[in-house]
Amino acid sequence: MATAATEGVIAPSATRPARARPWLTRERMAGFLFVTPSLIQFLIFTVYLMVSSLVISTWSWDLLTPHRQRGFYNYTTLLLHDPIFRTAFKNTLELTLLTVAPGMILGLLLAMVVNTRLRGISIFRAAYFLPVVVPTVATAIIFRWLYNPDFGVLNWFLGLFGLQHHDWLGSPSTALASIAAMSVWQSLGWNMTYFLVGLQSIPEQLYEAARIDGAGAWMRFRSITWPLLTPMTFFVLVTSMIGSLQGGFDSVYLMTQGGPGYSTYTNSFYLYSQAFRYFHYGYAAAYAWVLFVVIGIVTFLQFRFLSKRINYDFG
Amino acid sequence: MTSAEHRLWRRRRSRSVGRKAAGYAALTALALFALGPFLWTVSTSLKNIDEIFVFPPQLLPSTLKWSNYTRLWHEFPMARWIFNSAYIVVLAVLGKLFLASTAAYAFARLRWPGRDYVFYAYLTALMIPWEVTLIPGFVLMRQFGWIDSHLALIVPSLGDVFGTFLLRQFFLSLPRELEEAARIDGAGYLAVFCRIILPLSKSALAVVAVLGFMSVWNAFLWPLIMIDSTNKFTLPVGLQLLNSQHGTDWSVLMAGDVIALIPVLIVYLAAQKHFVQGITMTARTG
Amino acid sequence: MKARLGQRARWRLPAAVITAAVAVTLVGCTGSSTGITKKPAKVSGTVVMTEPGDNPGDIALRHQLAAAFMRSHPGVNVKILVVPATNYDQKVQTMIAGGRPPDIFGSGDVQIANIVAKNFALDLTPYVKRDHYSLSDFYPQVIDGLTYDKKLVGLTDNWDTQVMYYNDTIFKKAGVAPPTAAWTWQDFVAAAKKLTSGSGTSKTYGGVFENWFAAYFDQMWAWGGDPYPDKGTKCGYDSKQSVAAFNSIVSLYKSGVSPTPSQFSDQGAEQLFLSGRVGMYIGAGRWAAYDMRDVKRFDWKVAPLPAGPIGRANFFHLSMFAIARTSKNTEAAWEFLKYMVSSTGIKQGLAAVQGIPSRKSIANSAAFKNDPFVVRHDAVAPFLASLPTAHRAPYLPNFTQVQDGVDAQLDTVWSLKRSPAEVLPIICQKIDPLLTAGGAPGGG
Repeated sequence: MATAATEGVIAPSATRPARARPWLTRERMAGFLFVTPSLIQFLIFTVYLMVSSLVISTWSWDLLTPHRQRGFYNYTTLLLHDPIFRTAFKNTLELTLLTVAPGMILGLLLAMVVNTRLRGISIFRAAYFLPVVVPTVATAIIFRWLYNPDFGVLNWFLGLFGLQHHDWLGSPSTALASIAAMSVWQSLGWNMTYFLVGLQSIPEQLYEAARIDGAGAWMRFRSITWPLLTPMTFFVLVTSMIGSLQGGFDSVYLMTQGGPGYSTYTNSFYLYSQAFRYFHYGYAAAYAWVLFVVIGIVTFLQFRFLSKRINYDFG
Repeated sequence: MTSAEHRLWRRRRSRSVGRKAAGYAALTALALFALGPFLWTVSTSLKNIDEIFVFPPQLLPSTLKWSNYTRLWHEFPMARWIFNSAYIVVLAVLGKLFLASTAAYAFARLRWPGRDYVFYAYLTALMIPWEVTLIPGFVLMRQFGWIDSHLALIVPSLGDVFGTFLLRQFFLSLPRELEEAARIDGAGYLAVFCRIILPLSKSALAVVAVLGFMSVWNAFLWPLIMIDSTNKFTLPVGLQLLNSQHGTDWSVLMAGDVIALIPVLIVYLAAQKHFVQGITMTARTG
Repeated sequence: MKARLGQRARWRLPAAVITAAVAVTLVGCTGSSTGITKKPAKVSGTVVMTEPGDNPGDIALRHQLAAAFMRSHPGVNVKILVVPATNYDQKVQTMIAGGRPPDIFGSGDVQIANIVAKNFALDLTPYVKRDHYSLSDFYPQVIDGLTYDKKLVGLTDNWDTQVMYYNDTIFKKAGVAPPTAAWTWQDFVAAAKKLTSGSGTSKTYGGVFENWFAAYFDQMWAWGGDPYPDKGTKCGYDSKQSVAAFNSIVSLYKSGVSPTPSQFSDQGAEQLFLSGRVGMYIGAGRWAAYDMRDVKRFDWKVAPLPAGPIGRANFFHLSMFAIARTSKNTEAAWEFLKYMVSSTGIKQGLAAVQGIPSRKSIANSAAFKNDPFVVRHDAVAPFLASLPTAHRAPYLPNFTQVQDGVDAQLDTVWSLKRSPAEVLPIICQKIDPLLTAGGAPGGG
């Protein structure tokens, strides 16, 4: 402790006689004061709510009649006896797969397209990014109209290629994929920008050297772009997977309300339904904890297995 | 220039012009893909009902039916919703900036007992899905008596763990010399924070503001649960009311969407640089 | 969004907000339940009433009644709170659970068992007794339907039941005799076949069957089935009669005389009828007449539902006004409620065409029956004729969850992917646990 004050910022106490230094130095005092507003917020809205959530998850409670203590009942019911939970979980994984993979591939392609010095390119980049900033609620309404089976633009467009009219959101086989397609379109701007950051940090000399060695475009991509982009790829993968595993509420709520059948029930929608449609608050709280654990495991595994294979040379 | 050289030059030039033209054509096609749905929204919002239910779709309205907008404006408190969203987002973002920057300063520059533990606790919180705090959050708001109050939308959103983390990393990258000089001149920690750290961090603060804007402005589920009165709705919840009330009245729905898009567009165009910077910074620190 | 921080003034607000947050936590909150006292001489204060946002006629009426009530009760301020119709009942319950109850809430019959189980509506019986409020003018079916577990959960200004709407213009053009009260399902199918013509977007359909539980409940009852027999403790979807009832609907889709729900999903069956492309429309109550009031292109009329093998059955729609048990202003709420269901109140609403007046005196009055709109469309007699065959909604405490489960399975029936005989037994497998107390995932 005594040495700590001498390094870094020169603390006011250092100018005073060392023996008179109280425990509560001015620096410590400042530290506490500066962190307090944020810490209070954190303690109430994160720590307290987490604890409270854990307690509620052992209850049977509708907020109107007194709660009953049920121990692990909610957890066992959810994991063992709730077929809709399994469906919602499967749908969420499917939605994640359908959004993350195409979203990343298309994002990377788009980033490579806009990684040029053409005049006015920033205007195009801004245009491609715009869908990101529009609220999902607004986008979902627009896409309901585009997907309209009778008068929708999508059916008209596909009709030009001789395809039949299709009820995109109304058929169990395509409803989830249609929602996924919307989120891919929505998040393309994010992924593009991330990959653009990655691309622009690759030194141009590497490409020139490769060109002199006679490497073709594909060769250059495989031996330079791809390996040097892996940290960014990993980052985009982790963030979009976490986002997708928690997501899928706004669009489902506005476009399908979970239907047809259970085909677009996602975890977030079913959890919402349990809490605010069936008023099983305890059950929904337990559901949330199960999700927390799953997301934690997924994140951990990704770091564990993928991070080893990543080239961290740039940064 | 010999004529051979001239021909070569012309050919090269025309090839690069051709390349450029192809590039712009591709970029425009992609822009149509990104912006097409919005343009279609604008077109639909100005159509008469009999031009909407036609197949194949009619590209443009034959006459501009502005009454879709006036009807909407009279039937729903759209202006009120925009105002609500706007002032909530301003207060929430200012609050976020205040809490995140002060905490980040305490984490980056000040030494106090327990600092690292608190910081790890913050980092752990980054992993918590929003679902976990949804139900106890509702119960807490009930205890506070904040249901159907904008406080329920502002106060819980003030915490910005990620923003704190971003700012801490940014503060750590600032050179210490300026601060040290100020300290020697007798400036207190608050003065250093206000006069040196914050002015140097404008770009990082803008990034936190922009990310905060997006999360608060687009929030849907939380205000959907919290707010009951129509005139206290935020824009997304209001749009949802439109959607459930005029589910098939496409011109009115699209007019609502257009009105909802305008504020976003203004903010985006004004702060576009910071949006991109935000992502760049997120990617660098993340 | 250029935030210039570092100015002290900007700090105060968030800091103050947080201080307030902590302060409010400490104060906490307590719920209170008021016992019934003697009738106050004069009521005052604010009364908040929720109203689903999908019925413009109803919303306008509610505002009109509130304004009239406030003129006669100067101390009272009635506020109408329009709530999105999607998940309306759930939102109301969330408000009550959240400790900010509306004083009066409009609700549907299917929620009654839930409301009583969770005890969030005021039992009106003591108020009726105290004020010697006469219920004798109301249809007995209405008071019966609103009483559950010996509690009077609410009162209403109207009742409604399922009927059939038909496009007389199409009937005349095809030379087909219009529906009568004596029609059976066979008559309906035969007429529907004759009316169906054309193809593609210009196809005229013989009929359209609204895709919701009330419509298929009618069919189940008329075939001798019952969705939830034994007072809602059993599943009746897999009975032979139920399967036959669903087959009768599916065969309409298969033969092409009615569009499938996915074909009209985005416009709704009613919209399709309004567009003039459908001969007969089944599955709505009298509220649909309000939406059709401005139709000029064709003439439409009302007829009772056609009878099934064991006779006619039609869902009895009861919407009601209930007072939240935790309301802070029950007396004023009770006064406004009484006003809405009084003769004066109901008469103001006749133009909004909300069902049949709950008071016999008004329903049978010449003014109501001889209204030109009513005469032109025959918009009263078929409803009165259907009252004896009206079936009350199943009163299940967890109706929302059960019906979500049923409808999710039925989607494959409506899209003709699987047959009723395949799907209905699965429905019973899935919802059986929900019907036994405590068996629902999350419940119990």
